[in-house]
Amino acid sequence: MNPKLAKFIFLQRLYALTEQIMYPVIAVVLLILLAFQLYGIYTISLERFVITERLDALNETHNQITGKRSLPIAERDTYSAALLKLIPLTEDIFQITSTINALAADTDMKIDQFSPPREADVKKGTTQVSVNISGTTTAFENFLQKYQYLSGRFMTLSSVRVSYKDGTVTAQLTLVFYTAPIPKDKTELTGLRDPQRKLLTTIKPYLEKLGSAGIIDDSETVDVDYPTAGSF
Amino acid sequence: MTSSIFTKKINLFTAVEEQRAAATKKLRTFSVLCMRISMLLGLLLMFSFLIQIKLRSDNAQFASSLKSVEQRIESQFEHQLKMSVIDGRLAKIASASTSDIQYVSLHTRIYKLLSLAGVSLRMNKLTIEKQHQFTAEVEFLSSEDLRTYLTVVEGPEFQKKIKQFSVQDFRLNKPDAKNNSVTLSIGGTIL
Repeated sequence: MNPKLAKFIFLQRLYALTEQIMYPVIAVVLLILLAFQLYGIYTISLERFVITERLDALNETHNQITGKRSLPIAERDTYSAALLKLIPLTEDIFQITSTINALAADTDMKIDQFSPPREADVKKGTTQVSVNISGTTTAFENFLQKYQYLSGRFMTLSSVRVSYKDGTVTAQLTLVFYTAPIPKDKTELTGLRDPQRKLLTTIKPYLEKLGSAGIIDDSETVDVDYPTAGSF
Repeated sequence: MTSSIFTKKINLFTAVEEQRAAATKKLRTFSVLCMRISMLLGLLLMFSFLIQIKLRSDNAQFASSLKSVEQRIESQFEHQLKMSVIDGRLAKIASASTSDIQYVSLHTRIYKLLSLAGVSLRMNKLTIEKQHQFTAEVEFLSSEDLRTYLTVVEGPEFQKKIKQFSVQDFRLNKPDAKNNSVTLSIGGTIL
């Protein structure tokens, strides 16, 4: 056969074959693309489903939280600061010691005997401390007025043993200090309930006094560059 | 002879050509079908693109609203957390205060009870413990005062008052030889 004719026939057949095969190939490619596209739509829909569910849950949480009674922000900050001083999160034995010293000094009572509590004395959010104090009757009355709220820590008396002699008082007191944790999740959030609201109006003046008085600034640094007696 | 061979060849060629034409026709039909399917798939692909774009924009919108709700909840949670701190601590104060010994008021009540007789007396010691159990040590300046006091104690007014105190212990101590005074111990529970 003439080589030119053979080439012509070959090319013609190739063209015909290409023409016949092109559409099935395109269909297969489009099918693959569509499969990818559908998978993309599936993942986006899944993402949307997750987002919608989360959004619903958050909206529900928001409704739960906002449904509770509260206070204006300024009052809230003052009272929460004061109450966190009165009843801190964890017990600080040094703070108890300084509170008792400050209370005695403030009320002109003398501390005769006081043993700071040990770690073992701190139980279930309460710490019992025994202290012997003495002073005049007036100073003792002053002490009794101030111990609960104005000392900086909320404390109660669990036993009192008082001896009066010639205008002076000697007292053996068992004081109880309290700590409380803060709520960990939304189910523990309570808002301000009515009985507490009533108590709040009663002790408001003390809390305002405590809340506004010197909140410790964490940014303050202690200067340790002071002269020492000598090297060890 | 030559013409017969030629005819045979033509017939063979025709038969082959017919077969080829039938095969080509089948292939062409399949090709047309594929073309139609491709058009349909192309159309579907275009729609799926549009759907994907719409879903993506919706998701972005949802995500941004999710973020804003989260921020709102965070600030609200912080607010309510502080409120719960206030509430929890006030509740603790309220419950602790019930067990607190209200020394001033209890002292006043006990002193009033003791003063009912109207005689001179001095409360030397007062111990109050949990459950409002108390012990008081009272000094009478003379035994005469004590006698008066004990007479009053038997009286109806005192008996009425004493019920509030549930007195269990009523003990006379030794008289003090130096200043003629006598000491009385009284103990019980303040109701």
